Amino acid sequence: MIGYNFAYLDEHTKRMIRRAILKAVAIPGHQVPFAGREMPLPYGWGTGGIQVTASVIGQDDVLKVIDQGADDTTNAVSIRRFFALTAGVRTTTSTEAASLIQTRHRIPETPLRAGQIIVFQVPMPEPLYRIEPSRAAARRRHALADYGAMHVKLYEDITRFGRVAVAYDHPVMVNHRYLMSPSPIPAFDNPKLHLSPALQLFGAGREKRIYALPPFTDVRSLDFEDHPFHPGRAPHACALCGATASYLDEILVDDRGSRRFVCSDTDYCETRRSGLLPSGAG
Amino acid sequence: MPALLEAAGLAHRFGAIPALAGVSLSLRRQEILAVVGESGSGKTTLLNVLSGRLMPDEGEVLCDTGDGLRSLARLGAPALRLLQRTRWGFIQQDPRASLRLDITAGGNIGERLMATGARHYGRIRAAAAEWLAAVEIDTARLDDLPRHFSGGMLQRLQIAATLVTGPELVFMDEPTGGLDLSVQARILDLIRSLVRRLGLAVVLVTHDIGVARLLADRLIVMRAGRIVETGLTDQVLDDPHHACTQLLVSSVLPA
Amino acid sequence: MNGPLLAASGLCKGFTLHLRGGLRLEVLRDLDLAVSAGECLALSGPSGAGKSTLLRALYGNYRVDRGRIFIRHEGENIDLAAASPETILAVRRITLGYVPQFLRVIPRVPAIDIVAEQALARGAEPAAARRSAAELLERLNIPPRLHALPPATFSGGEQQRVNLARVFVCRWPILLLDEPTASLDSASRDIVAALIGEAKKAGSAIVCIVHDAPLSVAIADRVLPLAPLRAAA
Repeated sequence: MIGYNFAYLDEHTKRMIRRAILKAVAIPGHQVPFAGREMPLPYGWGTGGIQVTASVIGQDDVLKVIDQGADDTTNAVSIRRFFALTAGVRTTTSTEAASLIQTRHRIPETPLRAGQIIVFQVPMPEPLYRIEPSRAAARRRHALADYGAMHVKLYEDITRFGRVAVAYDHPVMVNHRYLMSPSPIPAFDNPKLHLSPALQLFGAGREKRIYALPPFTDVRSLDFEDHPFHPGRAPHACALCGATASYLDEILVDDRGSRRFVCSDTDYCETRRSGLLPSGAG
Repeated sequence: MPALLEAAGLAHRFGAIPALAGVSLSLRRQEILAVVGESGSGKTTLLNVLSGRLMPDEGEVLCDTGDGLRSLARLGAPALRLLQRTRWGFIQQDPRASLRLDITAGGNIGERLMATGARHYGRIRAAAAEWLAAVEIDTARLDDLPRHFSGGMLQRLQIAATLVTGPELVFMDEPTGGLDLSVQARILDLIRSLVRRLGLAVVLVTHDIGVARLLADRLIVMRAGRIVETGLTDQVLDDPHHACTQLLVSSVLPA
Repeated sequence: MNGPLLAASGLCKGFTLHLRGGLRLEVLRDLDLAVSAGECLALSGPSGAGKSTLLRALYGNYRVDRGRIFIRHEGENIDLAAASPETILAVRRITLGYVPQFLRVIPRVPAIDIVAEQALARGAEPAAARRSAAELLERLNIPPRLHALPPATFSGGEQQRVNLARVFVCRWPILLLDEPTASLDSASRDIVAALIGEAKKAGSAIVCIVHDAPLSVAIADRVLPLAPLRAAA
């Protein structure tokens, strides 16, 4: 595209963001502020993720963009086009083939491998924001590893509902030190964060924070000894490919309440259906 | 017996106002010390300095951290926070300031436990129930929100939430201020019996001499940031020497 | 054990009334006294002579301006006038007992618990402490049905008897009694006299203020008369 620098951002901005990313990688789970730029789309549409992707993407990268697991939603398509035009990189819908994946609120079912980078779009990077409204106080808590209040919230859930009721954005403890919001991924995806061979980067555009999980980082979901973390999933098989171990979307098919459950990860589902993976696996 | 807390030459100003000047004192294990004085005498500032919530302009506070006497100012934020959460407690005048009104009673009591590493829901809940009973709140209210508690119940809840980690030293800032008299009386009885049963040391700020007489072994009278009189509670109240103390004592309305 | 258990010398005590423009009242001047084990010293004199003041000074409740108050505490002589607060509390815990003129107690605590408190403080089992308390209250004609009530609603005489019981429930090497039989009828007075007699026999040194002449004759070995000092301007 004429008139734009590679991947839209100028080189100085990319350098600043990379510095923030390096710092974030050096302190897993710790939120690093960065000087977010005005992007050609509003806050709440993935500006944080886009800025991180723009800063790390190179000419030889193969980019995949998903939105709640799907490659074909409007937003996923838009962002993929954006990078195709401003960076001229190859794009793909295959998790296997991608070197760089930007995602909104899901982790792909296909396990990531060493050398891949996954960039999460994060609306609210501060896991304590509901419990500690003061930003300054929240920062102190992180500094002092003062996270008792988060456990109080889980205690309350168990008291009220008999179990921890956090369906998505279940807070995690990173490297036994920092409390982190994994972004609004379903609790089902939390175990994928732990000891992943890939580099996991998190960008919050509105809040202007970046944090990271270097490969093979210890990431544990908060729980109680007698109420251990349970990655929840609808007890059905995918109506399209028959998978029983992937995260499912619930779709209403008529106005009488009939519903179907299908894999949220479109690439995974398609791959299974085209026979490239043995059926029943996953 | 070695001291639990020692303060030397404390001085602090808020702008031009001397809140503390030349204050020194010491506190032993299981000793109950009351600090009385009119508004503006510096007693709350003193409490905040002694408990590590405020660093004084001059002077030093030494405290027993389990590892000998150490200077509060040089402890470092994490160690100070741990101290304040485990070996020490602070009971505020307004329990709403230290409780979370939208967290259940059990959650409030359990919070200090969870903040110091407790990770077993069943045990946390059991400890919370035990303490609720110890402060004479019906354990059926364990899962109720304090939003609906009366003032006296909120204060009891604050006491339970503070004592749950078994502190050895508790700071109290007008613990019965703002409560109805009959409620005050019951809270005082509760504090008195808990303090004895648990062998707590207490620094108690109050403007109510009756409270001091009821609870304290020793008394400090403050005026304009200075200690003007000190001694055993009965000494200071029955034989007041300083003009300020005489005024305070003579101002008490007989029942 | 020789020597007095309690020996005061050169006691001077005055009050400065700041609320009255600094008016100075001298009450005690250069007062000496000594009491030995098994001995009872009665203080006599008109109202205002300083009898209660002296007793309170001996207890460490009033702080003397000058002078020394030696107490035999755990084999050592402690000067109460110069002692630290912890020391005074320690002396009051096991050596020095005081029955003040009026009962001033913690509200809302039942009579039996008030009396048992000292026994408990000395390490007695709760059940045994309450039994001793109940026995003593009954001996002083406070019937069992009143034991569970806080004494705030008792009559003056009943309060006085609770006042006595809370001290006499234990043994004290030194006892200070301020008008122990005020508000009591003659039957109760005889019981009090008996209690004091038993304490003397057990070796206590006693200082008391008694207005009742027959009682004074019955229990006092010596009398120390006090006279009011002229108030300073």
